[in-house]
Amino acid sequence: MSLNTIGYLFKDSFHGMKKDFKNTLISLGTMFATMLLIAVAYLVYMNENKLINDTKDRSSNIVAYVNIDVTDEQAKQIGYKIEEIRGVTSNTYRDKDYAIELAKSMNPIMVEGFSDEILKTIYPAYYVITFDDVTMIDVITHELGKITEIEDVSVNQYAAAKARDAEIYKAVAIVAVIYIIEFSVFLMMNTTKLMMYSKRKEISIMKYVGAKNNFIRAPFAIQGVLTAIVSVGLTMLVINVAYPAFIRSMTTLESGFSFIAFGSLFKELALLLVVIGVLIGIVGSSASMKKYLDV
Amino acid sequence: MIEFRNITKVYSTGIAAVNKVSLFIEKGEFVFIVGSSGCGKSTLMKMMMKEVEPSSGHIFINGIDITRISKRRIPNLRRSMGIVFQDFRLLFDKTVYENVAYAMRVIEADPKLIKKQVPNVLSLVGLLDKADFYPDQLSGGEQQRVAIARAIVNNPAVLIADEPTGNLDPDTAWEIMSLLSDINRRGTTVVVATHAKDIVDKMQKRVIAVKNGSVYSDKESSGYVEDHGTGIVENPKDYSHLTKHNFPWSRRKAGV
Ligand SMILES: Nc1ncnc2c1ncn2[C@@H]1O[C@H](COP(=O)(O)OP(=O)(O)OP(=O)(O)O)[C@@H](O)[C@H]1O
Ligand SMILES: [Mg+2]
Repeated sequence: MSLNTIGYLFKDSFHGMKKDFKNTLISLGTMFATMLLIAVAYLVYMNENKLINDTKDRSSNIVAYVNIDVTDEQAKQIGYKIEEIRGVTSNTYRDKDYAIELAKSMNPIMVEGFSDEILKTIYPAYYVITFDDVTMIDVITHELGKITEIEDVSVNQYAAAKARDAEIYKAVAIVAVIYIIEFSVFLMMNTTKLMMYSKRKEISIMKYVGAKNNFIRAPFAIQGVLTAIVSVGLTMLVINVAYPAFIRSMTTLESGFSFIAFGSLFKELALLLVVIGVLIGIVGSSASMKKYLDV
Repeated sequence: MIEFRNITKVYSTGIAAVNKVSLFIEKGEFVFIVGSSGCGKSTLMKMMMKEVEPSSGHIFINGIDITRISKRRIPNLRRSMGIVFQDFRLLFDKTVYENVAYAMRVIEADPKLIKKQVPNVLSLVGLLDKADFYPDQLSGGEQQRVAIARAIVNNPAVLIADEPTGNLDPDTAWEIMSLLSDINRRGTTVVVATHAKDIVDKMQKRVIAVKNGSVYSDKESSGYVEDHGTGIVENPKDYSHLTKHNFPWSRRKAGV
């Protein structure tokens, strides 16, 4: 295509947007709503991720008690099985002697008068197991239960509570994000389809005059891209004001969670939206006009 | 110039709209295609612009078998011809000027040429003063003139018009037909499908009469006769019905 033609196609796009201002506003509104929803989904997702990371409390752990009858040698072998469980980052073996020493130092009255031989039938050896992802606690506990030499598993209560919370937040966030994206794509697709339907006669006229498909598509694609860029700009403006305000209102509720500052997300979000918007603008318009081009 | 060689079109519904039609239209001719509603006129026109594919047979335009060209090359075919429809088919968000210029823009014509050529054809169809109007600000006849200007702006060898006066009152119809005749005199081959019997009778052009999808008379004459004959006239040079009355084309300018 010559420079003149490209220039014309741009001019024609602007003219078309001005002439059909109603449709321009409709597609701008739809694209803006889409971008805003995607931005919200993104912020929810990022904060959710941070929440989970925050919950990765290094002090939280699982304690797996070895069956009292298992010998020291056998118990050491269990370590290899534990190592293989998905989500486990480390395991430390504590033998009965260690357990007894610990009991003596922490609760001397309880163990007073018992010989070590008797205590060895009371205090089992155990493993201290650590993990990175609190949401894996259930899986790890379940897998530990399958090891026959392990008698009992105890989970640090604080970590377990956090894990449950994180699990719930994550589920809610994922469902929300899926719904938001589904809804916005549906919205955009339908608007574009309707728009193209209203243009179908013009498209067929262009075909009769001998216009090639790309020549017909170009102004629509350019309009789509322009709409996307304006919408992204508006979205960033709105989020820039609304997000910090939202954070402020949330922190007064003593939620204990600190949200990600918007500044650190700005560039990433803007880029994401521009890419999605431009893609919708180009692909959406050409996909939905495809059937009208076939005349 | 244009040749139909044993063309048959059976639509998917099973209707045989065109049945074994063979035709030859020479360069520079002005041809009417007439016949009652549903006889297959539009189907013939649509096959020329490759909107409809024939079921069998071949169509040659400028020596090229257009039944053989790929879909991707349809735009090239349509650029070689001007097409005019009953319903004008103008782009409603473009001005008169831009509608005509559009046909030049799609072939990526030099902007300087566009600036020169568009006013030329607009003055030829008598609409130079309405160049900046939008189609909905024009009368039907004016809209059809714009469509004709657009059809001829690239100097096509062929102009095909399906029912170009179907939406117009008789006086305006006359003006449009005489405009087409003027264009023909400038060297363009013109094919017009029409119901406007009185105009056809007066214009003394070649008339191809179609009935039930077949050509049943093809006469270079002042009119066609509904003689219900079954014989297809193979030789178009049948001057027997000639009743020449000189139609005064100049009357259009006087405001007929
Ligand atoms: N797309 C189509 N599918 C099926 N049948 C069709 C189609 N187009 C036309 N026909 C049929 O083919 C026959 C010829 O139609 P065509 O439009 O060529 O007639 P016509 O001579 O142009 O009529 P008119 O003078 O009313 O415009 C008719 O019987 C019509 O019903
Ligand atoms: Mg017809």
